[in-house]
Amino acid sequence: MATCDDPHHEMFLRLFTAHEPALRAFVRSLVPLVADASDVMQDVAVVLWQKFGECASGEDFRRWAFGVARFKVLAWQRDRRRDRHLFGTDLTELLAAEAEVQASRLERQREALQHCLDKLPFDQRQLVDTAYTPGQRIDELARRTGRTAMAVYKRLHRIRLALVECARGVMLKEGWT
Amino acid sequence: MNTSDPRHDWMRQYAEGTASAEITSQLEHALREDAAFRRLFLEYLSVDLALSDRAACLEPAPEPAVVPLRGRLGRAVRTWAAVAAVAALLVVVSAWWLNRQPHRANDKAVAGVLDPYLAIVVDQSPEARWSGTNAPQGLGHALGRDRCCLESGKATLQLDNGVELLLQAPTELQLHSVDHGTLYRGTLSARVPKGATGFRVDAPGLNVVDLGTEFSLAVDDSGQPMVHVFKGKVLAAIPSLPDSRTELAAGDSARFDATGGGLKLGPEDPSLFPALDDDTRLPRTTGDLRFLRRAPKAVKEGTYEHDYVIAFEEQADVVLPQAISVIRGISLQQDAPQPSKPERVTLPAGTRVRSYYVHFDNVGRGMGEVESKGAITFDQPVLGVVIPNWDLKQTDPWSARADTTYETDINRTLEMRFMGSKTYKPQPNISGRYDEVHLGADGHTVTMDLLASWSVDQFRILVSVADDQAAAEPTRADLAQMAKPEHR
Repeated sequence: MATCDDPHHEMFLRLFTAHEPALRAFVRSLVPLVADASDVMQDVAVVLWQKFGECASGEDFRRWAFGVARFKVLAWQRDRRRDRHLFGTDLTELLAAEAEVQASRLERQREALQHCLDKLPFDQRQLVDTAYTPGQRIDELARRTGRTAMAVYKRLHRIRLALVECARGVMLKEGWT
Repeated sequence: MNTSDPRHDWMRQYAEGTASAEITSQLEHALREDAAFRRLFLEYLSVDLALSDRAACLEPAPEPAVVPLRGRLGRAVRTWAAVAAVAALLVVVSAWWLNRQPHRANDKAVAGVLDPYLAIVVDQSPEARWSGTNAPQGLGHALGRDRCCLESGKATLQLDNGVELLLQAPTELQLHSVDHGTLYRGTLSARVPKGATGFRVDAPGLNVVDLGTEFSLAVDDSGQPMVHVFKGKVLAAIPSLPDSRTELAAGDSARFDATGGGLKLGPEDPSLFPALDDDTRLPRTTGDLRFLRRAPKAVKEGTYEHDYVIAFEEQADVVLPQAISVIRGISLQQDAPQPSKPERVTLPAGTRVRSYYVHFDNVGRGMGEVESKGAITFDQPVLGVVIPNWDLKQTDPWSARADTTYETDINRTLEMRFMGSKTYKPQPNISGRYDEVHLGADGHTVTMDLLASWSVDQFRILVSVADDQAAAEPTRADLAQMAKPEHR
């Protein structure tokens, strides 16, 4: 296992940081609830951290990391499939491949998002920050703001879509396709 | 981005954890079939995660500052050192993202997402002035559910269901939906088309429900509401009095005393009830297209913060000083492998034309590709459309209005498949799709499917001018004779 004194530590941090947005998006795409996705992601991070020195380094980190994530997601799905409808294994593979290809792009998207969030009007930024606050109930937020819960959900949805488009626009200017 | 795409709503429900098995299954199928949608799905969820991280890190840091591991610390296979290391790692990653500063300064504030609008100001007198939170700023601007006040002048609103409202200042109005509004004071006249029957306006102590009609509602300074019916019928009722329901027919006027429960039928001063214009020569619009009854002051990018396509008349009757090339007979399908080139024709010098300008600028810049569709039908045949920017420039000198500021940037053109040349490859919109404009078989209708994100979509429509309004309209054969085909 790597430790903080290990010379691999810095490399691991750099690699994990670079691929973490894509890994999380992949995990999130197959695990419908944020809390469950966080649990799976923590499992993934633990395995990557424990096995980094012996299993992978440098260029093949991405492939290995996605392999671990895929394995953990499939394990989670296997345990939950009886309870609810989940995506099939073939789609899991498709999404994993897509996320792996898009890893750099998703990392850059996160940077661009900061710029896009700054461009959001104050009330929308406030709505986002409030709605995403841990423990915040959307129905309570809706009641406070005089809207229906569905109206708040849809407004947040439009903001998310707008942020996706904004990030795409920023990246398009930088030559990303 | 096409915000009406049902897949987006499935994606929303999935991200919220509220998707049913059926929705999940539909989403699964859509993701299997469409690689572009898979990419969007991942980007969308990545944004969702980033917003979660951001909000979590905006919270006051707990003591000690570690990422909660949801009670999974006791698993034997992990060492405390590993867990602590991962927790620290995730904190570092979150902080890393949050601390990365934007790479460029904000060029301008962008209103990226607004509540859905319900209506647009299609006409207003020059002295019209608005006030109130999110009140329209003038002609061509939209309004939603906020209470707003027309302080002076007159204004006509067109609601999304086709209802027209004429307001006469001072008037205070709040729209709750396209079917329902409240008039707090002032005067409102409504024309309700067939499909919108049941439109309701509340006034202090009175509800008026349309039964297919044109009517006027006024609230005087003392708060007493008055109703006058121009056409059809309305149902008026004092909510506190169950037996007060009164049906009023064309020509009826009534004054209501909400506090005393009284109703006085009888003629009222007609000047209290302004009638809506009934100009049958005005172009008819459908879908997201709105026709402004007069030209706006500007059609520059960023002027309007709504997602409607607007059109207005520039010149009522102008004689072409020189021959011009226009496009007619466009019939392009998005997915056509080899779209045919549009038919171009030359309108000879001396042709009399009426010109209209179409403008579409979605909310914000780059804050989402918005698709708007609609059609406009004219009382006279369409001679052609002027689309590329260089053609617009050629027609500006005689067609553009002196009192309207136009977008001069090259970005005012459409993104159409046929726009290429030897040196220029036509560029689609962000989604990879192109704008579409079609001339209808009736020769009077132009339909459009426009997508906008980074630039405005603008083009010009030229319509025939009849020598005599009573004269027979020119046939397509007449037009064909007048316009010689041209090859570019």
